[in-house]
Amino acid sequence: MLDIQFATPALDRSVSLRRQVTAQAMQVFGGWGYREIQIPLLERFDALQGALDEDQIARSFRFVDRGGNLMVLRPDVTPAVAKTFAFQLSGLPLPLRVSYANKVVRIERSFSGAQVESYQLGAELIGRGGLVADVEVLLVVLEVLERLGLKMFHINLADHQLARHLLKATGAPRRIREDVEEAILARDPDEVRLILEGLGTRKPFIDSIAVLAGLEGGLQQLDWIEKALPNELELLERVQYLRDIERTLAELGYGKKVRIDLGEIDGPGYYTGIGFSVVSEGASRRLARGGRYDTLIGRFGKETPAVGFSFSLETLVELLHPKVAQGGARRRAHEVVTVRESDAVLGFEEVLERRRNNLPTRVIARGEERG
Amino acid sequence: MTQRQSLRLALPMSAELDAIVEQLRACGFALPDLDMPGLHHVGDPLGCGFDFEVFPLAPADVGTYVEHAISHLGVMSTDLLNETGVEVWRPYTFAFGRYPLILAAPKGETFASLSSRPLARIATPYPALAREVFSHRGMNVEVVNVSDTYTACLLGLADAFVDRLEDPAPMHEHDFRAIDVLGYSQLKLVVNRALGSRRRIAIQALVKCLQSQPVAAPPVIDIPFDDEDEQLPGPFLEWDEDSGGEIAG
Repeated sequence: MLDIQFATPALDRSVSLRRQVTAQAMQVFGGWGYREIQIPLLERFDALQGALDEDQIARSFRFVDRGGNLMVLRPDVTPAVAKTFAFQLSGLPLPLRVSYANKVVRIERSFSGAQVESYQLGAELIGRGGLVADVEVLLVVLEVLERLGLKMFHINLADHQLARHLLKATGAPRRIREDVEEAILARDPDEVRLILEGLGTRKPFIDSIAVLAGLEGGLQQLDWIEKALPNELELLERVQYLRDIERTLAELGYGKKVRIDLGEIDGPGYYTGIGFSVVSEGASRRLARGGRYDTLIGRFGKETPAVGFSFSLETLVELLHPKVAQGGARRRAHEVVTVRESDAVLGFEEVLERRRNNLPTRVIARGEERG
Repeated sequence: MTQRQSLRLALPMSAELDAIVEQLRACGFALPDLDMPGLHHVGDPLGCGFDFEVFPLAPADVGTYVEHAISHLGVMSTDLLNETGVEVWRPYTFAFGRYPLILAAPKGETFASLSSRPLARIATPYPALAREVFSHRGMNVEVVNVSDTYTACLLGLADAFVDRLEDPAPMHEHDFRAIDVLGYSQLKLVVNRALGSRRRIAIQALVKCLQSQPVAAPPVIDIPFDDEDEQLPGPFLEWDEDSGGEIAG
């Protein structure tokens, strides 16, 4: 049976760190023109169902309300934003930039199976396709990471359309394609070959999909696919697109922070173009994930291109907490004001003076020895 | 002075441990016998800029340690990976440690005979796999989670078992037969996804070294099926020797 735990009550530095991280991220989003949006936590399941994949539905919490409606606690913010845009905001001039700091409720798979409530900090750029929008979103992610003082991180960049094209070309039924996708995510080229050779898939496609599952990454993955499948025009277009994004970011000085990794294709099923994840030294999980989803809004209304991302606040705080804790210990001595019981007014005057100057202050009560 | 980074590798204390250690030694890892818990520092045998630390662990725990990034790397069999559901990379498959996963029962039992019981009980250390197999066939069974599946069947706790077949001898000894092969378990090098992404060169170096120093695979395991099944006629027909024709069974 699943051991369900709810959000751990966070105390003191952890709480303030969550606020700081949220404030930093929202400040960056605001600086790029992303306006904050509030999305309800509770949704009617039938209204959101079309935007959730099987996995998201399986991990969601659903229940029947007093009116007999099947309700769901929002398991992902992006589909809810897409629905809100289609139903309420579609009249606004495009592109529309929205950001959020919202809670999601879902059972995380695997070791974090206990994690039910978590917070996402994210942004969505709605109504614009193409390289400029994709690069803009990646630059916003990079700025957030820089503002948080992180150095040893990088973004893995993949393309869902390219991966889907390759998987479809195998001619495998959906169930088998899912197995191959699992093998790619597990970076298990042996398993990829085992499945596809059994199906009789053509060798250049098997080799190209095995390249996706490989650990190499980098531009050589693109070179390899171009060489193996020179007549697959749609595929070559996507390869060129990834090259263009990579080159643009490299010329902006982020060459070492962005890495092509065609195997990073996990995530919700609504991604249709680029997909990316952020990893950092010291974090056992990814810090953020994002991608292009040009057909998601169309499930609720008029098809509108969009791209976005979300950071996991818990993972960021877990990563940053030890650093801040060390810094906090160093600072604390300067923040202390001793207030003696015999002259509390004098002590508190100093405290208030520091607070009027917005200086961090800790009060230490000192009792007098009674003679 | 720059502090050298380390890569921790968890090895399973299983029947394959000696073969894994032998392959790592061939890759230059100066490893002692890993019969006691503890970290063994083996320096940088691959010249990849990372110092390796190797430690033994209970086989089922390896994935958890790797997923939590307490260990960057590990070696784990796919049966346990699938059962525990850990999300890790699996970039290398060892030549040894490949076992069939079978559904077995006392000789004479079949899927049909099991499904004719009011509620068949299946002993297994792999409850998730067992549930999946039987739910796919639309069979309602009670899955009993035990590690010693033979005893469970011999003492009447279960009617059949789902387990990996490492040695067919006990099956012959206790007169058990395989009803179906459900798949194969393989031994994989496993890697934490997020940290592996930042240490690709070192991990690739390890994979390449393991590929270049393979330990020979043991002979294929002969799965003891119930041969008599092949001799039996269909369930509804039998041959009438006297009249020389088929009669309804």
